[in-house]
Amino acid sequence: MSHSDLAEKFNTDFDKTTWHDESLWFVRQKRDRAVFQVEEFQELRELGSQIKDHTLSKLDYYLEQFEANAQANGVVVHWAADAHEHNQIVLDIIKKSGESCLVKSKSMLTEECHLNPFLEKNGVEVVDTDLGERIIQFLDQPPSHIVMPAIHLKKEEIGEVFHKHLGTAKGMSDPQQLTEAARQHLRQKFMAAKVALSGVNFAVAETGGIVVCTNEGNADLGIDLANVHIASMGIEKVIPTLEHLAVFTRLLARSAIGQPITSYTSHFTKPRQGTQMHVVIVDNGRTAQLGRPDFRASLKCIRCGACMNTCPVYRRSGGHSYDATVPGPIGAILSPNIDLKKHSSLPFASTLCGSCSDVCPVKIDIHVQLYKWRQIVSKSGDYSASKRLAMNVLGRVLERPQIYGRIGKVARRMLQITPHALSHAAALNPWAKARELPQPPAESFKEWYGKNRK
Amino acid sequence: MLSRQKILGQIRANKPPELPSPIVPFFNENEGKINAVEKFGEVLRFVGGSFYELPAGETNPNAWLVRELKRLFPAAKSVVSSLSLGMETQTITPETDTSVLEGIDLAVLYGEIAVAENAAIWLPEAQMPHRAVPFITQYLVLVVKKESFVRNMHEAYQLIPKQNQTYGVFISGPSKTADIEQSLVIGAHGARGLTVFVV
Repeated sequence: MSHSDLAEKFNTDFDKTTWHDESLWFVRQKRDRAVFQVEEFQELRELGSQIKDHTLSKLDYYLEQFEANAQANGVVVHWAADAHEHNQIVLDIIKKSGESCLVKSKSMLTEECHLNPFLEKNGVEVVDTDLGERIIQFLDQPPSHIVMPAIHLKKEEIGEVFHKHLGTAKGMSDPQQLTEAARQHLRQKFMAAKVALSGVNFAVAETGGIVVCTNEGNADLGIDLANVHIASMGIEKVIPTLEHLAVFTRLLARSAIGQPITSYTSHFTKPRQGTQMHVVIVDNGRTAQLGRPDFRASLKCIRCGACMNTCPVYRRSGGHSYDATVPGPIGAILSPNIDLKKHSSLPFASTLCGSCSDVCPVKIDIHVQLYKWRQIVSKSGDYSASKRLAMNVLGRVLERPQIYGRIGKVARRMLQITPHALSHAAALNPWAKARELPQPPAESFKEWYGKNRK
Repeated sequence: MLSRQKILGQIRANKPPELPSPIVPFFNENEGKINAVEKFGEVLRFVGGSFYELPAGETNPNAWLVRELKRLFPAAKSVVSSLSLGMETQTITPETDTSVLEGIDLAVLYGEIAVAENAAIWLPEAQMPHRAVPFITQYLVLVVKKESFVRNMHEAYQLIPKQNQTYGVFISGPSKTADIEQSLVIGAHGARGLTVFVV
C-alpha cells in the first residue's frame, strides 16, 4: 500500500490523529527550547555536518583505523555485507556462547535487518529492553518512530498490553505504574541474560570504542551483567576522534527530545575482564548510497528523529504509514535506496516545506533529496497513472500561454457555477477532502494588468 | 573476510573526493562569565537530579556526606561506596555475583569530571566497584570535587585520556523514560534517583 493509503487509514480516527500531531509538536517545541539555550548551536550543526562529510570521504580509512584499535582492545570485529550475513553472525555468536536468551537495547539497524524474527525462528528468545520497544514487541508491531517507538499508542492501549502480558491490573493506565511494572519485569530478564546486544550511536576510530546513548540505562544494565556483548553498527556510524564526539553529544539529545544530553552516554572500549565484546559492521546498501552524489548526504544521519517531530505529514500520518524501518522525512530518502519500487510513494509524503532540513543537526538537505527522488521515481514509472496523466497535461498547458489563458477563463466560470457537492466530491477532487477552494476571482492577473497598465 | 574486502572496496570506488576535517573550537568565549558549579546545579535540577554543595566553613567533608546521606536515605539497607565513608554494608568487586548486585539500595561513587552545560558527570570504570553498580543500584550518589567542573563537552573530552580506556559513562540525572504518551517517568531501569554532592 502507498503512503497515502496507509495515512488515510491512520486518519480515520480524527481525535487520535490530532493527539499524535500535538504529542510530536510538543517534542519539537522542547527541542527548540533546548537549542535556543546554546548560543553556538548553529555552529555546532555546521561542525557536525563537516565532520560527517569528512568522515564519509575517508570512510575506508576510518573503518580500518577503528577496526585495528578495537582489535587491540580485545574486541572481535565482524563485517557483514547484508542483513542476512549480519543476522547469521549474531546467531553464531549466541550459539557459540551456549545461551538461548538475548537482551537487546535499541538498534534501528537490527530492525532494518529483521534480526528478531530470524533469531526467534532459530530458537533464541529476544527481549527488547527499551520500554517503548518492549511495548511494541508485545504487540508484534514495528516501531513507529526511531526515538519514541510507541509514540502512536495511548496509555490505555499500553495498559491493556501490560494487563495481558505482565499481569498488571485491568484498566491500569498510569504511566508511572506501567513503567514500574516494566522495570520489575525487565530486571528479571537483565539478571538472567548472559548475552546482550546494543546498537551503536558513534564508533570512535582513534579509540576503537563505541558509544551508546540511552535515557533508561537499559543498554548498560544488559551489557554490564552479561558475558557477551554484541554491538551492531552501520558503516556510517564511525567518527574520527573524541573531539568530534563532543560535538555530537551536544547535538543529539537536544535535537531528539530537548534534553541537554541523554541520561547515559556510555563508552564501551574494552570488554569487562573475562567477557567478550563483538562489533558487527554492516553495509546493507550503504556503500551503494555512498556512490550516489545526490543522496550520499543521507548517510550523515545521527538518528535523532527531529525531522519526524517537525514534519506536518509525519505528525498527521503516523510512522507506520511509511511502511519502512525508518519513517518520516529521513526514512523517505533512505528507503528508496533500499527498494525503490516498494517505497516509491515515500518521496511524495512531503509538502517540501523544508522544516526537516532546518532542524537536522547535521544539515542534511532532506527536502532537496525528496525532490530529487521524485524525479527518479517518475522516470522509473513507479508513479500512479492518474498522476502521470495529470502532470503530462499540466506540463503541456503550462508550455502554451494562450491555451493557459483560455483554460483559466473557462475554469473560473465553471467553478462559479459548479455545485459545491460536485467541485468538492472526494472521488473527483481528492485535494478538497478537508479543504475549501478559494473563491474564483472575476479576472486573471493578466487580464487586470492588460486593463490597468499605463 | 570476504565481506570486509567487498565493503572496503565498494567504499573506495564510491566515496567522494576527500573533504577537510574541521577544527573544533572550545567555545569558551564566556570563560569567567559563567559560574560552572551554579550552572551545573541548575541543569541537574532540570534533568531530575538533586544537588548539594559543601557548606562554607564545613571542615570535614566526609562527616558532612555521611550526615547528609543518612538524612536523605534513611531506609537504605545495602550501601556500597568507593569513598571509605564507614557506612558501607558490603564490598563489591568485578567478580561479585549478580544476585548480590541486585540488592544494592545506595551506591556512592566519585565522579571525575562535571560538565556545566548538561549536568553530565564522567564516571570511568576505575570509579566503579563493578560496571553494573551505577545502573543496578536503586539510588546513585555522585561526589564531585569543586575543581572537577568544566563548562562544556569540548573541555570534558580534553580531560579524558585517549589511551587505556575500558569503559566509562557520562551520567546526567536519574534513569528516565517518556515512552508512554510522552509522560516523563523517573526510574526506568537504572537508578531511581541521582544526587550530586560537591566537596
